[in-house]
Amino acid sequence: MMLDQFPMRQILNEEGQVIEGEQLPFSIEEVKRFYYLMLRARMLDKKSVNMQRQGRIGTYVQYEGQEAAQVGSAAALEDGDWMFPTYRDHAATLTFGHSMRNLLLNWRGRLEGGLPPEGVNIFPPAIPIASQLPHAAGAAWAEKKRGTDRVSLVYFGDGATSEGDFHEGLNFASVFQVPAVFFNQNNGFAISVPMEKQMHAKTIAQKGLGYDIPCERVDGNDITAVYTAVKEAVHRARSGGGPTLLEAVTWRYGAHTTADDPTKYRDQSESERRRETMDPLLRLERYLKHQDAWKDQWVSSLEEEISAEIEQAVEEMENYPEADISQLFDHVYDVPTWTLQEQIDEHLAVKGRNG
Amino acid sequence: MTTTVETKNLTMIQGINEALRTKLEEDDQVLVLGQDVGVNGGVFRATEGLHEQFGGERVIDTPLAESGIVGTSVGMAANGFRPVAEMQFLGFIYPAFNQIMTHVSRIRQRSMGRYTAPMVIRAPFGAGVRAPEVHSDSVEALFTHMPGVKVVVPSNAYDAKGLLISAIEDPDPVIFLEPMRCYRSSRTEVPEEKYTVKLGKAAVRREGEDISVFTWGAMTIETMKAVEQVEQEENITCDVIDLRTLYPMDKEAIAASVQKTGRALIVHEAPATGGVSSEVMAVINDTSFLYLCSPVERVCGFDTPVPVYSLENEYIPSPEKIKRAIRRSVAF
Amino acid sequence: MFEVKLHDIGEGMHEAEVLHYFVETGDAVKNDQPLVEVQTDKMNAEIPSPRAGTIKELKAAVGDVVEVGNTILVLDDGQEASESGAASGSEAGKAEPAGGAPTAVKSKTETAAAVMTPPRHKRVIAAPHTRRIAREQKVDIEQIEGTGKNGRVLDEDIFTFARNGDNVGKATAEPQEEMMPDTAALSETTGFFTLPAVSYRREVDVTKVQERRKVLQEHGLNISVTAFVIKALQTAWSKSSLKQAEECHIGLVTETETGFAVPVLEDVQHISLSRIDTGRREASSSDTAPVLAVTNMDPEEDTPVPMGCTKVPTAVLHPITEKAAVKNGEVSVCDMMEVTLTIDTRQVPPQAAAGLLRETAGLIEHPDLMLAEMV
Repeated sequence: MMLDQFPMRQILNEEGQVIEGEQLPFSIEEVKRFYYLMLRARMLDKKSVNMQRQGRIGTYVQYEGQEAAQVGSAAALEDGDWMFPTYRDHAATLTFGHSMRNLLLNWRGRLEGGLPPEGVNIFPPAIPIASQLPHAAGAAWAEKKRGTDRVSLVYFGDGATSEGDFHEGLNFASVFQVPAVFFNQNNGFAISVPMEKQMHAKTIAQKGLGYDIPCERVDGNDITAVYTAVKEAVHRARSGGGPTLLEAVTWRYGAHTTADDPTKYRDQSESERRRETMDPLLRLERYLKHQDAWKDQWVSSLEEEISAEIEQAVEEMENYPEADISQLFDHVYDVPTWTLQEQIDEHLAVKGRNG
Repeated sequence: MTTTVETKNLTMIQGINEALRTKLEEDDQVLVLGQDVGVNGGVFRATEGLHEQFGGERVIDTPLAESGIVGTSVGMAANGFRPVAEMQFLGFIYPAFNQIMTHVSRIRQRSMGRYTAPMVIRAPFGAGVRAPEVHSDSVEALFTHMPGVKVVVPSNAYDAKGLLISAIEDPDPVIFLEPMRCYRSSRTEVPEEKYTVKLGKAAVRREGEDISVFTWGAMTIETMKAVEQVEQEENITCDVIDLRTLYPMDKEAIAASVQKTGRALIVHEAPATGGVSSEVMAVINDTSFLYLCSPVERVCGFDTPVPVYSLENEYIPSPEKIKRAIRRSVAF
Repeated sequence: MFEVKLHDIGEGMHEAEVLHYFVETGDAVKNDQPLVEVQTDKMNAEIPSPRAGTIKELKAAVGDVVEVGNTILVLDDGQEASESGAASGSEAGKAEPAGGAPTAVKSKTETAAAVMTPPRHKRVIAAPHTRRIAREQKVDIEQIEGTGKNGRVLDEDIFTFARNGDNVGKATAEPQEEMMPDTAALSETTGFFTLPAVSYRREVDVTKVQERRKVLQEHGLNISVTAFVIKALQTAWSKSSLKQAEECHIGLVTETETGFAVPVLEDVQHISLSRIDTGRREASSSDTAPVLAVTNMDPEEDTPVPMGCTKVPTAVLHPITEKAAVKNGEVSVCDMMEVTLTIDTRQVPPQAAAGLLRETAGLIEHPDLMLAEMV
C-alpha cells in the first residue's frame, strides 16, 4: 500500500529518457555540470580505495553508486546553509565546498578531515548512527530563531531510521517547524542487514507521516530528480514551511568499508547488474547521447582535469606535516584543565620537549 | 568605605531560578529548554515565572526526549546560542548519554575548535526525597570521567546562583547537578545583583585541626551534623571542604587542608567503587602523601542501585557512619 | 625498484593468501592498475599498483600466505634505490619483527636471577607523616623498632632514635639545606651548635598585624612586624611548658662583618611592643643565655640574614607575600608570612615546639589576643 502512496519521483529513467509527463528543468550545460560533479566524486572514491589497498590511507568508506543522491542534494544548497554528513557522505561535502585534501586527511586519521574551509558550514562527519539528526534540527532551529532563511540538510542511511535519534530529531524539527531537510540515502543495507530486516515498513518516506511533515521517495540514482526534490524541500524550509523527509533510493556497489566483504551477505552480481542498468553517471551519459551532446573527447578531458586535481590533493595530503602532539590536547577544553595540563607536561617531559 | 549589597534569603531552588533569570535578561543567546520547564515552571519550580517573563521562544517546553533535548542543544550551541537544558532527573539522562559523550564533550576537538558547545545540562539528583525508582541516582562520576565537560554540584542558594551563572558563561559544556535534598532544606543570604562563583574552587565550610572532610551536594548536610557532634562529644575538630566543582577539582584546597590536618575523609552518596572519592584520594596521594598520619577514609553509598525509598535511609551515608570513620582515622 | 608490500588493509589484519596475479613478470603496468588479488580472513581484496613500471619479480607464489609488511612483488619503476611501498603516516607498513627468540631467552635469565635474590624483608610500618620526619632527620626508618600499635614506628621513635648516641653516625640530622646556608661559619663565630634539628613550618596570616601597624602609624608609632612576632613568641612561650623561669630572653641572630652575632633582648616579657624595636637596635652581644631566637630573612628589614638553628628554638621569619586564601568559603587576598621554627630535639620536645609555633601563629593572626596577655 505504502509503495503506491509513496511513488518514487523520477525525471530521467534508466535509459536516460525523460519520463512521460515530466519535464527536465535543466539545460544541457547544467546536465553536463551534474555529470562533471559526479565523475569527480567517483574518481576520488576509486582513488581512495586504491590508496587504502596500497597502504597509503587507513580504512576507507566507499560511496560508489550513491553519487547522484549525494551530489544532487548538496548542489541544491546555498552558501550559509548547514550540512550534517555521516562518514559516507564525502561526495556531498566535496560538492558543498569541502577541501579534497582535508577529506583525504580524514582517512589518514587526521582531525583536519572534519575541518571544512572557513565559511563552509559542515559538521564533522557523525560516527554514532543518527546522532547528527538532532544537531541538524538544532542548527536549523537557531537559524529560525535568528530569523534568517538558512537551512540544515542532514544525511543518514536506512539503518539510522531504527535509532532513537532519528525519531527525536524528526520530532523536534516537526514540533518546532524548523528549516531542516532530512535526506535519507536508502542503499538497502546497514553493513550486512538488508532493509527488510531493518524495518517492516516498505518505505522510509512513510515514517514522515508520523511527524506530519512532507515526505517523499526519490530515485536516488537520478540526479535530476534528487536535485529537484531537495530544491523544493529547501525552498519550503526557507520560506517557513518546516522540515521535509526525503528518501533517496540508491545502492552502494562496493563494501560497507574497505574492511568489509559484501560477498559474505549478498550476491555482488546484483551490484554488477545495477552498474549496467541504474548507474547515475551512465544515466546522464545516455541522456546526453540522446541529445547528441556527448563527446568522448569531452569526457576524457574531464577525466584528465579531475585526475590532476586528485593527484594534486593526494600529493598535498601525503606531504602534509605530521600531526603535532598539540592536536591531542588542544580543543578538549577552551583552556586545558589542571589535570590535563599536568598530563601534557609529563608527556612532553618524557618526549624530552620540556625538560 | 562600606558598600551595601542587597540580599535576599533564598532557598537553593530560588537561587537557581535567579541565576537563570539573570542570564536570560542579560544575554539574548541564552535559552532554557526541557520537559515541563515552560508553562509549568519545572517540576521543582526551578524555572518558575521564566516562561511568563521571557516567552516560549526562550523558555521552551520540549518533547519528552532527553537525547533530542541535548542533541538539538548541540546544534543550537554550535550555531551561536547558549542553551541551558534541563534533564528532569539525573536518572533520566541515560538516553542522552550518547549525545553528551560523543558530541557535547568532543565537538570542540572534532572540529579543531570551529564548533563548540557552550551549554549547561542541569539535572536534579540524589536520594532522600522519597522519590520513585531511578529518580534518585547519583552518577556524577560518569561525567567526571568524560573528557571535555565540567561537573558542578552546588549545596546552597548562594553557590547555586553564582555557580550556575559561571556555568552558563563558561566556554565549555557544564553538567550542573542539583541535589534535590538541598533545594529547599536551607536558606542563604543571596545578593540580588549578579555575581559569580568561580568553577573549580572549593569552599571551606568549617575549620578544624584533626581531620579534613571532603564532600559535596546533599552530603554536606550529613557531614556538618557529624562533625558538629564529634567536636562536642570528642573534641575532634574537622576541616569541612565542600568541593562544589567535581571536575576540575580544587587541588590546592585539598592539599592545603590535608597538609594541615594529616588526615582525610571523603563523603559521597554515590556508590564507592569508581566514585569521585577515588579521585580525591588520588589528589591527596599526589600532593600530600608525606603528610598523612592515617589512611584516607571514605563513607559512600553502596555498590548497589539506589534503593526504592523505603530503604534509602539505609543507603545514604549517615552522620553515625561519618563519625565512625572520623574516629577510626584519628585513632589510627 | 619498488617493492609492493602487503599492508594491513583490514583493521588489524595480520596476513593474507595470494589468490591470483593479474600481471606476469615483464608486464608494463600503470598507476592504480590491479596487480594481485589476496584473501584475508575478513575479505578478498585487489591490490592496485602504487605507481607505473614493469613487473620485475613476483616474490610470493599463488597460494602463499604473506605476512603484513612483507613484499609481494617487485616493480621496476626506473628508480635505482630500492623503496618500499609504505607511505609514511599510514597504518600500514609496520612490519613487527616476529617474536624474537633472543628476547625470550633473555627474559628467562632475568627471571631466574630474580628468583635467586633473597626476598626483601618486609618494610617497617609507619604513617607517611612519620616517614617524612625520618627523612628530614636523615634517619633510616627501617632500622627503627616501632613502639606503636603492631610495632608501628611513631614520630617519637624517630626522635628517640635520632637522640641515641649509638646512632649518631647515621642519625645525626643535618638541618634542611634551605635552612642552613652556612652552619660552619655560624658555629665558629657564635659557638652555637646546630644538631640535630627539626623544623616546623607554618604560613601565618599577618593581614591584621598590618592593619594594627597602620593604625599605630597614624598615631606616629612605627612598629615593625618583627616586633609583633617577637612579642607573640614571648607571649606563647610564657604560657608554654617550655618556660623554666619567668625571664624570656630572646636572641636576635644578626650578621656582622666577622660572622654571626646573637645580641640578646632581655626580659621581653616586660617590654612593650614599641620598645622591642628600640631594644632590638640597641641590643649588643651579651653573656645572657637566650631562651628563644629570632632571625628575619626579609631583606627590607633591618635585622639580619639567614642562619641556621641554635640550641634554643629559633624562629625564622620569611618575607611577607600576598597570597590568595580561602576564608569562610570565599577567596581573599592576605598578607602571608612563612615562619619556620627550628629546634634541637635533644633540648626541646618536638610536640612542645610545634605547640609554641601554633600558639605564636594564633597570636599573630589575631593580634588583639595579645592585649589580653599584656602586662
